[in-house]
Amino acid sequence: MEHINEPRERFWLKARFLMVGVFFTLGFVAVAGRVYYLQTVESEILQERAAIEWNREVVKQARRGDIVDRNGAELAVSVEVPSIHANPRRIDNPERVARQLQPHLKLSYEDLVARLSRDASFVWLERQTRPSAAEAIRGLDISGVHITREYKRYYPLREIAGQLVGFVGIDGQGLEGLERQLDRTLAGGTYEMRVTRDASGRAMLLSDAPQFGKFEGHSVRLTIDEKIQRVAEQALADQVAEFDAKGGWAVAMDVHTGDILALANTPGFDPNRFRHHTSADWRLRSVTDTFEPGSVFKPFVLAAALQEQATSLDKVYDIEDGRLQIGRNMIRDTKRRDELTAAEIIQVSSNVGSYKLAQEVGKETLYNYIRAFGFGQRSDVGLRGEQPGLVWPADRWPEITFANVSFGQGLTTTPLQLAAGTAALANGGLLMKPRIIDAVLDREGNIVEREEPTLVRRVVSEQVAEQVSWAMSLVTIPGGTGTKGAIPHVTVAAKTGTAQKVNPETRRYDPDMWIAGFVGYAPAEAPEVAVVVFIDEPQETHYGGTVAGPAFARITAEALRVRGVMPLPPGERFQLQEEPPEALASQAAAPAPQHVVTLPTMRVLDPTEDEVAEGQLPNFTELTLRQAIDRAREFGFVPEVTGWGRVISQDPPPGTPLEEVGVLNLALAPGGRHGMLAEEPSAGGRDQQ
Amino acid sequence: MSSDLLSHLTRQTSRSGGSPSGADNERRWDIWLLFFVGALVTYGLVMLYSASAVMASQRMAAHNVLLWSQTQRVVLGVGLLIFALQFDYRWYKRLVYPILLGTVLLLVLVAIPGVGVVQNGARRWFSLGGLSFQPAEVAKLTAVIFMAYSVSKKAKRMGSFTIGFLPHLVIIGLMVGLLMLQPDFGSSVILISMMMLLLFVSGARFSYLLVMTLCGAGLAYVAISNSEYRMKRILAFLDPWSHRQDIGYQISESLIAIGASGLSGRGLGNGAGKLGYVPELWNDFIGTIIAEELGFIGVVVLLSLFIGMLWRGYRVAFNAVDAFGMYLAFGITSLFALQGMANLFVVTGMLPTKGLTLPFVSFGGTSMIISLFAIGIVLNISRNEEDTWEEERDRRAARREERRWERKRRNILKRRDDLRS
Repeated sequence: MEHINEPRERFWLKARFLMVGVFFTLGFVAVAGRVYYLQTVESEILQERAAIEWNREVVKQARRGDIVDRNGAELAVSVEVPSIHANPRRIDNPERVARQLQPHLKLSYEDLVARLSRDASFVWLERQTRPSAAEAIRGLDISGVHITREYKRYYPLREIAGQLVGFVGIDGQGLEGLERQLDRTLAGGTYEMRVTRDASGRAMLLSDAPQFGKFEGHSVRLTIDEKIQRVAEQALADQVAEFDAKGGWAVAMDVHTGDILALANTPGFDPNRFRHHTSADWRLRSVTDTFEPGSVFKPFVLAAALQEQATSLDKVYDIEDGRLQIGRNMIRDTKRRDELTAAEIIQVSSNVGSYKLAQEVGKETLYNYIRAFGFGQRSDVGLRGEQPGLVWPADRWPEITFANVSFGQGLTTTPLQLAAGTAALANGGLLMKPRIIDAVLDREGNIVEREEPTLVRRVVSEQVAEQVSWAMSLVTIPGGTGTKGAIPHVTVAAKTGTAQKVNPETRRYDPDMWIAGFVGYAPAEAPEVAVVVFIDEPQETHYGGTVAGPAFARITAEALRVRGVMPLPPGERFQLQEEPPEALASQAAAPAPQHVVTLPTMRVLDPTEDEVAEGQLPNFTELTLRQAIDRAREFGFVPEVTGWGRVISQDPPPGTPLEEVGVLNLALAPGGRHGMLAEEPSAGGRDQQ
Repeated sequence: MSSDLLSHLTRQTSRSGGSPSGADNERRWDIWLLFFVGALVTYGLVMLYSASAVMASQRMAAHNVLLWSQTQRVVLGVGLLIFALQFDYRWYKRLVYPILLGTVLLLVLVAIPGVGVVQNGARRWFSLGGLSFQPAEVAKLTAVIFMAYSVSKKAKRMGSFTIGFLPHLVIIGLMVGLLMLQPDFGSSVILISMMMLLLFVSGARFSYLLVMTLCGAGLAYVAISNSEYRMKRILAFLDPWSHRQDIGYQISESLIAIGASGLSGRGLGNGAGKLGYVPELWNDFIGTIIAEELGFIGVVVLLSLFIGMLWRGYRVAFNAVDAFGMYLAFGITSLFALQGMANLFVVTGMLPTKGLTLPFVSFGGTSMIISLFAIGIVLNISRNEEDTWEEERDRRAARREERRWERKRRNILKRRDDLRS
């Protein structure tokens, strides 16, 4: 090494090497020091910054519970759909991104550019969009544009029970109807998760995933029967169209349990497209609207008079040629007659006769009966906006008001109240609380909470109720006002009504504004369903029998069919061509109304609920033909059937081991539990006393 | 004691490796240097996978695309290393001008639009059938070879300006000029720094260096203030948080990732920076993920490996048999130390972002291949072999003479036989 042989040279060379080496080493040590500083002194501040950026509190809304009808048909369900959102701060070129996105979104190009240019870190581009659009956008893979999954509420039956079910807002909050009222039950909880997100905002669940099941919203099973509801709405719509009416309401109710089977309003309303309707269409008018019921109120007056033993069905009244002057006012009938029996007053709907019946009862007592039938107070069915109706106390009734009340004017009520009151007549005088929610179910379908049928009070005795039924049955036979409400092979107890409406502008009864009503139940001898139908402001004709009767018949016939109610054998039906039978005509020595507060009653709706031992033949008794066949199928039999109606006997008998059963014979006979099987212990409500 | 053990180990390993030098077995190559480099490369592969797996699985064919690609480069680089280990380093001295010419040609070629590939706003790459190649990496090594050759040749004349200073300035300046065409500011700074280092070590006058440093600072200022992009980088360096949304984003995220994880780190694979927060995490900012996931210990291990490499590299330089070997070993080692230091300074926010890789650790094909090749050169120097080519010059001449005489003798004999016959 020629040039570094001299010691001095070599020393300096070594020194310079060393200097450079020390320089680099110090540099590396500086890096270590800096990292140490960052990870200790600065660590807290940086952790905060990191937390702001990396962590996110994700609040996840549970899946909203479903709303189903009594048979499980879905009225409202939540489905998972994609939503598109963006972080404009991460988008450099809004125009280009907008051009890419536009074909897949509803927003226009200009709107997209405007949104993507906004100074925000989050904007929705389209919520609850089509999966195909989301897939396409995912394929574009634009940074700053993201897809999340949200629940969208969907109403598969569209306008069926639309007002009843209501709807939710885009964030899943209940806004109207049951959706709003049961919001807390349906919505379930929210779960908050701390998640780490990546730079493009996608969240990553790291650990401690909550038990989602606990947060899930509960489903609600209604008492509504989608089939009856559908027919009710169709029937209403047809009548409204035919008579060019403003609207219509119908309620169908199981008389024994108070279950509301249908709660229909016309015009209808599709919750899927609630924005396309006005807020007036959202209202559940059969609960929120009050009106003067008119003549459909008369059976309650008759029931009161009968219960007070102030009259009997064959007691004859002087109708005074259908004109009666009360002070300066006159009440009149549509047809002039001299005399009518109490039953005929109902049949032909005589206003004067009804006033005479009311006079037999007296103001104060009638008022008490009206209240006892549930008028003038909320039924507490649990529907938002339910109106109590207005019944003035008896001491504020001048004579003309007393007369008006006797034929249903001068007081207001809702269709639901009328249905409940009518059902009380049908249910042997027992007023049941209307029931709309059957049960609250969890995700697996287990019952979390069940609302049992509730007896409010006994209003009249069973005998009185049956007498009123007999009288009301006259309405639908020739000579009555409601022949259009008749159903073949079934006796229908009904009452027509043609109520005058007060014109809100003149505040007087308007001769062109009417509400045509038709209330009733069937079969009259052993009632199962009560139905009320009102058509608001029909044009051309306004008689309840003509306008509302056909709808009533359709709804009632459908309800009977769906509920498996068979026609009674002729021997058990009311003989309406004759005078009232002795039993009915005689002054009922019934107990005075007991004001029972509540008494839960439970009717066994389906005998198949009876426990069946494993491997044994079940009891088919009392099943309808269809139920019996379905039940037999479950056990692998096709039964041999004789007769019609309900099963009265079976061979082999219940409890036979299945392997010993060769051929299953079922004998059927017409008649419900009221007739042939009245002594059966499983009979509910009306047989209970 | 430990050095005894080391030399013992070294001897053993190279003996078992079956060194082909036969009789000259006394001269071992420095296995510790290879150990440090190997550890750095392994460390890099592990962290590279941790840093890139998320990105690769989202945007590329598979989660291990980058790892696989880097592994291929490492294999290629190790091949070159073995070649360099066997190839007498003095040939670089003999071939220095062709090497210089080739490098300049490459730098010119890459500046031609259509030949060089533009990436991130700079024309730095060749693309050769899927493999990208960065001439700047070659230029760094070439500059070191040239400087080592030049300063070792001039030796005592280094104190003079025209001989010891100006030629280097011209040659390096040419390369820097070509680099700035791309533009590649980071590599330019490295090149100039390397020149200064070698000039300093070889005994150039301190006043020249000082003046040149001032001139360089002036030039750098001009280069920076003329480019909005570089100006912003400086601003982002001075206050990363207020430029967090744009130019300071990368450095801010890097600082957050390093600092928020605490001294113990988040554990291998648990870092959050890789979730797209720190851009180029597998490349220039691989130091970030080391600090984030492995904590302070991980950084200390990394730095120790670099310091170890520095120590062994300088040791090779000290013990080199000739001045060229000494300067070359020193230059190559310093090149890696300088780049590593600069990169880690950038990562920890102590220098503005420059686009320099962490040698042996970062993802980057050309850098890895050239670095391993350069380490091969240092290892070859560490063998301390005599310059057989020079030593045998006389013997070669004697042999040639002998052969000439032999031919002559044979001719004479032949002629004599002819005459006889």
